Amino acid sequence: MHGARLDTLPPYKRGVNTVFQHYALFPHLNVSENVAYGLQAANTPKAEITMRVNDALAMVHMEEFAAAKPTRLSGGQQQRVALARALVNRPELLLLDEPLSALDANLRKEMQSELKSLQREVGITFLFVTHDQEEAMALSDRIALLRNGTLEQVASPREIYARPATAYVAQFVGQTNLLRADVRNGIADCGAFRFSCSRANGAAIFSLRPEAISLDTDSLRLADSVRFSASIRQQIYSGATELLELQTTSNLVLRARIASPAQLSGSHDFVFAASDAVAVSE
Amino acid sequence: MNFIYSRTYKALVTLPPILWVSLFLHLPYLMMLLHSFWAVRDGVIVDRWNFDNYATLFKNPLYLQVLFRTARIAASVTLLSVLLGYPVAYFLSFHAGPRKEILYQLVIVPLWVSYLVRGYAWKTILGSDGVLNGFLQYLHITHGPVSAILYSPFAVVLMLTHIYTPFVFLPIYASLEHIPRPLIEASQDLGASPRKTFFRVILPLSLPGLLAGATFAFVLSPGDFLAPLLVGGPSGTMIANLVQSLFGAAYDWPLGAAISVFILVITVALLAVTQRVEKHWSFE
Amino acid sequence: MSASTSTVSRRPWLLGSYAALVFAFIYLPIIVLVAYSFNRDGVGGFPPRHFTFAWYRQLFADSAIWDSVVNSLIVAAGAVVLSLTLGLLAALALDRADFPCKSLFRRLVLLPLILPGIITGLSMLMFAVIAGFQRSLILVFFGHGTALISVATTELFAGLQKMDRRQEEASLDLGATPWRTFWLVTLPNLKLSLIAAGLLIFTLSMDEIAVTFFLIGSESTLPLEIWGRLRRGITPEINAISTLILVVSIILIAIWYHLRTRNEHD
Repeated sequence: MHGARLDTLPPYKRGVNTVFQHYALFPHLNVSENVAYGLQAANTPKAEITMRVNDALAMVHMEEFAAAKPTRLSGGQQQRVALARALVNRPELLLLDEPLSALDANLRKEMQSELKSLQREVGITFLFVTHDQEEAMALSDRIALLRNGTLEQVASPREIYARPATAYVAQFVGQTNLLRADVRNGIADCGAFRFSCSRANGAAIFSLRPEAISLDTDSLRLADSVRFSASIRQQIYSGATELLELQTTSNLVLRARIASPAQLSGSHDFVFAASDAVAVSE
Repeated sequence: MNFIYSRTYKALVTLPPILWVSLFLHLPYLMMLLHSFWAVRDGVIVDRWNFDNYATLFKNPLYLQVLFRTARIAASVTLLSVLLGYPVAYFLSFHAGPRKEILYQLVIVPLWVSYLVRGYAWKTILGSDGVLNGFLQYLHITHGPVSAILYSPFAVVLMLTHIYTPFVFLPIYASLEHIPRPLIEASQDLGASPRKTFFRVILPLSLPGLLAGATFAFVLSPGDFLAPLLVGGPSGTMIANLVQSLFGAAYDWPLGAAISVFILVITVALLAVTQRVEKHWSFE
Repeated sequence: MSASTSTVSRRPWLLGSYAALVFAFIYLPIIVLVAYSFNRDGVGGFPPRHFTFAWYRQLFADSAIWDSVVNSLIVAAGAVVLSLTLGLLAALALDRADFPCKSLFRRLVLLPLILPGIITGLSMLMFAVIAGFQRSLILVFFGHGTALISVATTELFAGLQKMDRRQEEASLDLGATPWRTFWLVTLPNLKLSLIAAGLLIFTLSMDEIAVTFFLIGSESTLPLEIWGRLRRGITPEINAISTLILVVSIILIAIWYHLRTRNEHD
């Protein structure tokens, strides 16, 4: 941060505050004492502490619980107190370590949107650690995707989804088809079909999202349309869309997500745009 | 939940222990209580109901002196045991790393070692021709035996501290081990120095264990009548020794019983109070 | 997030040295005791100079001590049986029966654990005198067995609470009688608690003085024999017997840990 290494500084000198996975609220202190903890550690004047604690509690709508013990609060309320306790110190960076993992699905969605608007309000950088890719997509301005401690890609959610850098990223964020192809003179050949690309000669992997594939009936024919025929092995209905598992004549298995709920069977023609096949590294 | 056991089963497991314990344990305690309200007339115990025995305990300056000395010794033992036990528990819980388990066992092994044996060992160390005096003369710190060490209240405190330190250590260690480690990370994350983290997070959260250990030492050490006999001498006489002599040579069972009941009441009251406080302090 | 807890204190070595001193304090008497049991010149003086087994030889020839050891073993073994039997029943009663004053009984049964031994001993003495019992070794056995029901009940009740009740339900459901269920399911499940309680009761009884002191007749138990000799002055023979007690204690502890870890690995 600011060009300084953080890992060599003791935690109490870092200017970073954390919202812990299970909140780690002090059970022997009440809500406002919890929030005041960091300010007291920094020897802030009493009057200022009171003011800032009240502001922080108001920000997360927990004023009425100021005197309550944390163990009496629900998961969502504890979450808010943990946020207030970290934000009241006005850190340069707020680290959120899987803060929503302990909440049930509904509450989690609610807290996600609250977190997002809170972040806009305070303007502090939030570093949000999560294993839930949907959560990451929903909340982030930028995503850093780590795999076994090494960085795979840093980009906006849209960029990550549309232009994954590696096969791992492509599979981790949403569903995808990984096509192993042989590239020769700007043409990628994966057995079942060929499409043009801008890769150098040799083996390559492409990520093709299921929703990029559609039935070749009345869809618009573009210049780079790639057509192939395949039989339908399985059809999974999921409301607005359907997931098809396709098998081409050369035994390549692909998944396609189409928006036309109808019972299909047998062999059909499918199409996708060559530009939707994104070259990724291993 | 208990429906799977028949009435016969319940009666079979309930009646024998209740009858046995009531008859052979609680009835004797009750006799002790009754005697404390009786009196001795011409060398015979008579059931003349009175409170004189209790009054004597608080009026007789000799008894008062022993009472206060007992309280002083018990308080010193408690304080020293905590001062020795807490840092060791803290060290084991936070800094011992992989040696934690073996060090823990090392603290509790002496609990299995005979009480009398440990008391005797102190006697051989502290005596006027004992090991400590030999050691001091060997180093030419002193030139003749120092006799003031053994047979003093100090020797009693030393021996009892030695006995009770592991007992005090145990609940403190348990409470330190129960502190969720993320709380300590959170405290550091919020900018608290190690000192502040200790006084505002670790110490408050380990208070229930500290209290349990301290109560244990404070409640049990006054009832010890062997340590004073072994290493205390006349100046180290404690309240339990009074009881012993009243039941023995002095043959005043009612007065001895009154003092016993007094110890019993104090013990039970202290335990009840600390149990309530502990409950209030535990944050589960 | 794994901020290491070693950052809790910046000077663990200071604390470590303090802990080492406390360990020294705890073990000093034990080490001195053992060392001087091999010292030809007796207890006292520094350093111990001449190594000898003479005190052990003297000890093994001392029939009074060995008589008292036998007495202690008899009392302790009897106390284990008596208190485990009644303690097991009491624990079962507390765990699965309802009776008037149950919570009061649970507290009262613990009294010998929290009260000074002298009060329990004297109460029992009064009872014995009034009931017309002779002070004797048998009385000591009853005294120990009764007082230590507290330990047995506590340990076994904890064991029962940890036990999976559904095993017993299954056994009864499969047609076993309550009596068979008790022997085939309940007791085997409590094995470890029973051994733990038994060892603890045995050790406590072997070491007991306060109750023994008031209930014993003309015989002697090992602690009382040592106690009596101490009043006459200290001899390295006592160091020798103490060292033997220590060795036996350590063997018992080792057995106990072995059983416990073997059971945990099962």
